[in-house]
Amino acid sequence: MCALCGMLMDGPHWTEAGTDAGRSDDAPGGRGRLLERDYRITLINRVLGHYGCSARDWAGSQYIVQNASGGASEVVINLPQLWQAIENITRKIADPLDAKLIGRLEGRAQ
Amino acid sequence: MAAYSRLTPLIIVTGFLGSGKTTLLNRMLRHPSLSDAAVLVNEFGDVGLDHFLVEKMDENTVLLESGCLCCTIRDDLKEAIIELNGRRERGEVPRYKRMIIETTGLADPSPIIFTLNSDTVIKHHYRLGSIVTTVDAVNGLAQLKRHAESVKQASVADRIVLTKTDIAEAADAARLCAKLERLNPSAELITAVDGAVDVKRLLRADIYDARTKGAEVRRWLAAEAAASSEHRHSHDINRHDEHIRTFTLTFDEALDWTAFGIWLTMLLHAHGEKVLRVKGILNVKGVEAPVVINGVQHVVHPPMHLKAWPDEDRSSRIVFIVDDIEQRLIERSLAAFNAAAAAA
Repeated sequence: MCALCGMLMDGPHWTEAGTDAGRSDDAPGGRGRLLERDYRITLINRVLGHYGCSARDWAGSQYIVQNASGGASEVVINLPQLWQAIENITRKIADPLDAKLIGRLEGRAQ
Repeated sequence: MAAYSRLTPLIIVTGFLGSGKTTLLNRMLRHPSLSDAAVLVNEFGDVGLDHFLVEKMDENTVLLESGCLCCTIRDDLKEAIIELNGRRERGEVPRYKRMIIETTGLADPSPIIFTLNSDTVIKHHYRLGSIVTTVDAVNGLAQLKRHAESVKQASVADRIVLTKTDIAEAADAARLCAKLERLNPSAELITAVDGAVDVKRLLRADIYDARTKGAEVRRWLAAEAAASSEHRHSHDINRHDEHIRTFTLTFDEALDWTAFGIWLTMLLHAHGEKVLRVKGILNVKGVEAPVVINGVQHVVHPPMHLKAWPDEDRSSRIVFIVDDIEQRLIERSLAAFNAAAAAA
């Protein structure tokens, strides 16, 4: 349990846990945990821009997700919770198969 | 938490009504390799009660607020596992090293899988080992046609045990095998003869067992290559199935692990109920050894590094079994997430 907020921590998520080989702290991308987290937030925000939202780190273990006005926000501990928070805040399902989102990401990549 | 590979593996035995689950279970329990297994069943029925640990559950389900059927918590299962775990810790029962869970014939296996991954206590002591599905050679084709549960049971399987082949027409059995291979090419088909089955072949399905994981991944890839080859000739390998699509995405360029995790969690959030199975081998940017991923609906196992590539091919190969989602949309979406990361 997080001593600050009382949130139940459920162990590292598979996207952050490293591999089964020795339970390395490093994710398979090879970065250290905090660098990886920073990079993950950069990529998350590229997606969240489509929903008018953003995410930032909190204490190296949680994410604060909020809309553009800051009027709605949630604290989450992993990516599945983050997508649910986007749905709660925007009333839209965060869907990677949304053609507009895909077009936006393809546009950014060019 | 103990290393994932050292957690107690859970073997799920599922299959449609009358497909021979209990017969298979009885045979399995007589095998020395499973003499250290605890068993959870829905009905005592004919299961060998002389086995040292057979417990019954009452089916209570709790639908979560999301309303997603595959995210249903099976309270009975959760309580039964936690209670047995406590008894094992206190030394009241022998220290079983595996647990076998038999589902009811009409059960959609998804809530069981979700339950195993949603409880903190269970997650700290157990992991999903493998899913064994029995399919009846006499009635299997009709069941796959009429019952969505039957399709789901076959789609999520690591091993499919074909039963009653001795009383089935050979042509029907062959058509059933062909259908199952199209539906779930990476599941090994094993024929039970008079109820007897090679238990060691069933147990080799566990990719987190260091003794079996290399061979199991090589088997997936061979099955995927065979299915892809068939695909090139037929254009639509599942044209007879109304909704279920099985396909393999291949990426020649290394994938960005972080982008992949963001993409897959988002896909499972939006479409987890329709993504029956995802498994494959990834060439991850900046990492020499391949990374194996393995997911069943909303549940994704921790990624696993192999020591070396199993063959000369260095491309990422991901097998999807999905319900009514277009292959090209999934492919385009993953490519877009990966490209956006490359531009970061």
